Amino acid sequence: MERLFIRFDQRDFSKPLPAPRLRYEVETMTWSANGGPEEAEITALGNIAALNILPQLLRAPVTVTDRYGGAMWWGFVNAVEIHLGGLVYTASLEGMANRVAMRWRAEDPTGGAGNWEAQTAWADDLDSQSLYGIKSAVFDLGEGRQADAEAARATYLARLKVPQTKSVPGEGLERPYGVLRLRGWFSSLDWRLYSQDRGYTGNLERTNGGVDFKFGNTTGVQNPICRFVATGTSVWKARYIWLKIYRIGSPSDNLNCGISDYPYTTILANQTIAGSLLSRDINEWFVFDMGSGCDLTPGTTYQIVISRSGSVDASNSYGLSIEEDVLLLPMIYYNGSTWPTRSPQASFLTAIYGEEETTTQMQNLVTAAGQFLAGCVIRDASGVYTRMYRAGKLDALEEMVGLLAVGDSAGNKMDAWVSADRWLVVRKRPVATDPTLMVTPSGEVKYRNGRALIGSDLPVGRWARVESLVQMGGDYGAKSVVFLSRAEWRDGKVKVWWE
Amino acid sequence: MAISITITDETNTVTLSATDGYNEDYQPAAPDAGASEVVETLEVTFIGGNSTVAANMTELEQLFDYAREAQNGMMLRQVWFKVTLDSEVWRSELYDGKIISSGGWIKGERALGIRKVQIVIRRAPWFEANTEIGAPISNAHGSSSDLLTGVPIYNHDDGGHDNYLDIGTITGNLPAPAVFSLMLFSQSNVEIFTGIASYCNRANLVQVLEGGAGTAGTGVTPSINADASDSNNSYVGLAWSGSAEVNLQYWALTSAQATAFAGRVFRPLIRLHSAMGGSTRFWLSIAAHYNSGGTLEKIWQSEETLMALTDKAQMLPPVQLPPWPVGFFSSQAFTFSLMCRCEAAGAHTVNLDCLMLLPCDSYLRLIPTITTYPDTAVRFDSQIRGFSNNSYAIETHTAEGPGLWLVPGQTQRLCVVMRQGTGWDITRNPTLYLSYRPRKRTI
Repeated sequence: MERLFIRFDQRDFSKPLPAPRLRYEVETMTWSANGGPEEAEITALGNIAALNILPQLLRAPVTVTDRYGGAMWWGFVNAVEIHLGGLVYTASLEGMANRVAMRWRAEDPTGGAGNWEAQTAWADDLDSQSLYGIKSAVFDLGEGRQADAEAARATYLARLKVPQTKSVPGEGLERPYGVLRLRGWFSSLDWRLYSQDRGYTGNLERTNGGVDFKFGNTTGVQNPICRFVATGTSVWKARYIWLKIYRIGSPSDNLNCGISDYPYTTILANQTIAGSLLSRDINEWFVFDMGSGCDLTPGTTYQIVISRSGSVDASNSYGLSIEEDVLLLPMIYYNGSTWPTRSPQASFLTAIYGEEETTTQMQNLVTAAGQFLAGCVIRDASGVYTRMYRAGKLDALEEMVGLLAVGDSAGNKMDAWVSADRWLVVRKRPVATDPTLMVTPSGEVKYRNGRALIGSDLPVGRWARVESLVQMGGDYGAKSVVFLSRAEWRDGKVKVWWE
Repeated sequence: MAISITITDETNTVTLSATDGYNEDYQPAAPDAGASEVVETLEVTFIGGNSTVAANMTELEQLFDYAREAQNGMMLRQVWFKVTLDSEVWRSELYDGKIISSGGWIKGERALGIRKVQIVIRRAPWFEANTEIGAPISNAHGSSSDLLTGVPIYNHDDGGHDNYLDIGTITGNLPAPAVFSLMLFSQSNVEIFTGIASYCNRANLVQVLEGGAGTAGTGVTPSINADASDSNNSYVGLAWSGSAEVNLQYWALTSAQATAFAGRVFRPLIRLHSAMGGSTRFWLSIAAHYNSGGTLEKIWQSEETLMALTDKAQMLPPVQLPPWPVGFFSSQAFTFSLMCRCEAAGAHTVNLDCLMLLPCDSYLRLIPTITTYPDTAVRFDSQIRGFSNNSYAIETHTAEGPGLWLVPGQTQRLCVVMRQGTGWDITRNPTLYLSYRPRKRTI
């Protein structure tokens, strides 16, 4: 069996870390076409005093190399087990959290579940973060008050800010040993909840449901306008305006909805629809698609402007839901001669969403939440645009997997691979041209000219021909050329899985 | 045939064939290929009176304990099972052992002041010479075959400078771990890449491809520039435009040169005249082409590697050359290509000095862990992976790879490349020492 070599680095990646003088043996390693190195397990044999130093390696970068110095697997120490005679001591980053927030629901005397959910600000333990990196978690208090939530937050943080330890009964052993459980860098994206404040401005999150506002039915109420201040941290492109807007009767004219600058000089983007497209249901949402959209600069005031193309018609007009409690900026309307502010003050009940190419979103995600990654390289842009706003409900790994699953505009799968120098490389899946690899009937992966793969020449993410397999042929027949999506190394042998 | 047997950590010694005890009939075992250890049983009679017997057995048990500690990695001081045969001392590393007394020893043997025991040992599946000897090494700058004389090398390979040592005949019948010393004083933060070509045809081995000696690929404009700070006193500027992959530079390898690689593994190390700088990303790979009358047809290409924009040295992953099996036939000549892709459009330039192919039949990379240590006077023992700098045990470097192993019966070459931080100064001129202990499967 080929001997492998293990290098630990300082947590800040600056240089190698002298590890406890133990005999390290790689037990298993896995890779996935979605993320690269996945998991690995290393056994450490030696003196008990040296084994006790192993927990100091938590979150240390690890590189497994072959005998030629080629990197085979890379990631970090996620958990350490020390197997003693009668117990197994475990120290793990699993369950650790050094940035904590609590969610709670306002107390409700009726016991109803419809009350608002709120979240505290983050509480950080900076010492733990400086050692291990930021690992965030949100917990749910249930019904309560803000003070209760903040107290619970402090309790959680105090308990979870350090690696989580436990001990369980072990089996009688001749010699103590340690086990290092490693995870690949891609998985570390789940350490951070991902929020993206670009791509949404609106008042949906705290609305009580809105009140009705009819317009275009009388000269005194026309062309409602709602000003708003764009949110976010940098410029984003607005494309969609969601409104609870409806028709009254059967208007035969068009309705125009768009965004203008403020004070008004021009319409920046808009969509005109036939009024007949709208529902008569006051509670139904309608989305205006402004096509290529317009750039919104955070902190700048804009206006949502609505107008009908036809004349005022008392029987055939429009209405929309407005919100009197949660304002963007006060709305105005045209009364035939001036632009009064609606009384009482109100805003449209609305959401303005932006879109971004999924691969650009991946880059932004890695910049914001990929604390251990060197960056994100997009080898092939996806050409697919989706909403980029994220409320921070999911972790960055879930978000990344979701973005990858969208694929590209040509229907190709997108794969991501964390390179040995920790760049996340995103590319469309290569075309299955005549592959250079083969999977033999014994399960071994080789070059088709018979040459063996050296350790760092990883088969995952490549196409291979399955030898001795009858190919059905035709465009829709079962293929004998397969995409190797996962691999496992154990006892010197590599097993592969394919799609 | 007179033999003597001792177990020793070089400080404490128990002799099993003369003064402390008599070995009845030791037969060195012949381990199977690939065996990780040998278990042997020695029939020994300790002599010298009960107190002497007890003292020697105690000392022996202590040595077994030291051996276990050494195997646990806590002590570098190993324990040796030594056999002297025809005045030559051979040693095998002892992993563990135990003493089993014979039945009835209290009644019968104590009266005689002796103890008959079985000593069961676990030891390494080899013997090596007790005396370390210098490996025969030479290059254009000198030669040596003793421990005290080193041979200088340079940090590049051109007409007047060698970055390698040719290694003469190695004795023994198993690959032997080498002790590698590199003396480069007043230089800190030196990272050392070394590798040995053990199974290649040294006479035709290509280990450096000069930038100026190749041919630029389609769409790439070369300009050769004289510069004494580069290998062969020049580098080639390679200019192109666009984001499509280009064949930056290719070199025609003859059949003899291709065959000389012998299908072994090499690590491409690229030296740039100047680092790329900026933030635009470039990807490098190696390819093999068949040159059909000037038309290159790609046979194989390695995975792409992101260039380190601040570094003169670009390390590519190991590759097998040629990328097909050789053995029954001489290899077809082929074209060795350096491919490059830039992620951005526009004009790009790579200032290529040379591409070195570090042989990896055995491989050792010493990565600095203390960047400010003033000297690089390192000694690495490939057997115990023990390391010193300036004769002190200090981990100024960490080792990657299995170390350097010398193969008997082969003409070999040791190549060395050094980089310091982001630089690669070709004028670095250390002195190398190489020693070993001939190793045998059994004696």
